[in-house]
Amino acid sequence: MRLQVKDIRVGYEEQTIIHDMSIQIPDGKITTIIGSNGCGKSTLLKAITRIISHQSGKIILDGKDIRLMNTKELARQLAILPQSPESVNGLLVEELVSYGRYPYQRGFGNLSKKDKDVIDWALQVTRTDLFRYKPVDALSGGQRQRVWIAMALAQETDIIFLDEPTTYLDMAHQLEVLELLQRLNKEEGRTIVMVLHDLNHAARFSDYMIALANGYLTCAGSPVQVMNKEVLEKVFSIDAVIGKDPNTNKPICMTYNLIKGERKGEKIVNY
Amino acid sequence: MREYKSKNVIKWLAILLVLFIVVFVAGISIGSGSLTVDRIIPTLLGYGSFKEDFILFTVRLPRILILALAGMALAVSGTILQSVTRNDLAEPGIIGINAGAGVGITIFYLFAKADIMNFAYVMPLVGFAGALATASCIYLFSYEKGKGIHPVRLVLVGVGFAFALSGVMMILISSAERSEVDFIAQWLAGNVWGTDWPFIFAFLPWIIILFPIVFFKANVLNLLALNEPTAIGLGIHLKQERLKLLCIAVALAAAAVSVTGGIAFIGLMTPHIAKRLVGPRHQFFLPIATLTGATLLMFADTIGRSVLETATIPAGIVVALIGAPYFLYLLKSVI
Repeated sequence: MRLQVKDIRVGYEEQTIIHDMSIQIPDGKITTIIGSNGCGKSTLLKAITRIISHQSGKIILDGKDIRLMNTKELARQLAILPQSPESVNGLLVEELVSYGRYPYQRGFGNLSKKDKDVIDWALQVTRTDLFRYKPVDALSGGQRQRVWIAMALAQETDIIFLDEPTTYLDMAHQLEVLELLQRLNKEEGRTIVMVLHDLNHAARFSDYMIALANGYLTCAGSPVQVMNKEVLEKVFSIDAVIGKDPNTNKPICMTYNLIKGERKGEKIVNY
Repeated sequence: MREYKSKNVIKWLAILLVLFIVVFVAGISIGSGSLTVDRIIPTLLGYGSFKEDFILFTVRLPRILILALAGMALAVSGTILQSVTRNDLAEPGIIGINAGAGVGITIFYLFAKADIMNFAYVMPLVGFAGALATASCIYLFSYEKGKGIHPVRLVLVGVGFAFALSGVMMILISSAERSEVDFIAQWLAGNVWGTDWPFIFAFLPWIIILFPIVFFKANVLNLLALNEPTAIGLGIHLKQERLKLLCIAVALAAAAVSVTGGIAFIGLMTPHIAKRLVGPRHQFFLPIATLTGATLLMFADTIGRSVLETATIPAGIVVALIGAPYFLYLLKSVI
């Protein structure tokens, strides 16, 4: 395991969001972090990718504490796609993707032959090369998300983190993004770590799942180990009916009820 | 298309360069005591009459050069502030940096009085000290523990400081003598006063040292203008780069306004105009903004010197006449 999280505690001021959590991210697999709103899944992702700092514990990549690593060097090892990035004011698709080459550039930022090749490849693999000369803001939500993924790919990292890459997309576009990530994992062997809201998507596309509740790790393991009645009850306080997806044989949450006396309003299945 | 885009940049650079030269020449020839356009080159080459020599070398040339340099510095400063704070309304004048430099210079002036010409080289430093003190205060007050600097907070705190400092100026003015008040009032209005060669030589090093650094950091500015998580994820040392760039922005603005007086809006308008022309990549729009800033300030000063026969309207006021409506237009499109 190249990436290991050891006893990290993350929080703002007095409030602790992640309590002494230890996680191992399997190499070359798709890992999904699930949990209810406010359980700290986004925070965990941000802490692992040094977007926010942790108060104690260690995040170790290839045996080194990432806090001691050069941030540009780290950017060549892991990429992060933040949650629904804002508008980019007239930037062209190709220009945004070219920003992904920053960790390899020095000074003024002229693109080398290699940079250009990687950008072309990233545009092709995400099928965004058709609109490479269009402004990013002019694209639809799904296209824009693919462009941001292309930028993360241009970073040429073995590990890619994505914070809710399917939010605000319709069903078809959600699947498109997830299938793209699956392809990158299968064909290129990239390690993918993401936060997803949709449990069925998480079970279908990931090899490893991490379930959080109230800043604590509840369960981590294969989709079968995590997607079951007991774990979902602990994590979401729901009474779920778990079946099997006839196409993929992965567990699927068919329907669910709220457990009385607990908090409610968690939306997990969007049919 | 990449090629198309660079062609677009070259096209606009060429257009602006022509515009720059036209305004530069007009600025030299227009004004009380005229120097016709066809006499400029002979005079430059040393064939001018005594009067022509005097007008060109002692009056017009230093003035127009100072304006060009100040326009460039303000444009680059505004660009940095807007990109680093990710706020289209940030500008050295609006967030109180000019006012800080102004207070520093006013206090200095009250001590130095008529000897001010002997202190030409010190002026940018005094302005920088005042501006840096102000910027540090703005930074401290908008710093949130654990979260760092929030760009919008920085701008709001800056606006507050701008008001507070203009209050300080009022106090200084009311306690000063009449002749001194005149200088300060002129300074506040942005009446370019440092129009002598020593001021150019005092100002030039700031530009020569700081501009290459900013242009070299075009890539970093691109990412800072994008969003925080992406910038960190791509390997930008956020705190460090922000601090460095903010210091440069403060230094450039302070050096500029220490010789030109309180000129606002140049830093606000030029990045917008430039981005509209060639897009938001700093490699492209920074040079365009720089040229636009110089042209705009020279233009404003030339207008100010020529519309009234009896008096000069300070360049700062002419710029404000153009800039204020632009600011309102921006507010409308941002909010």
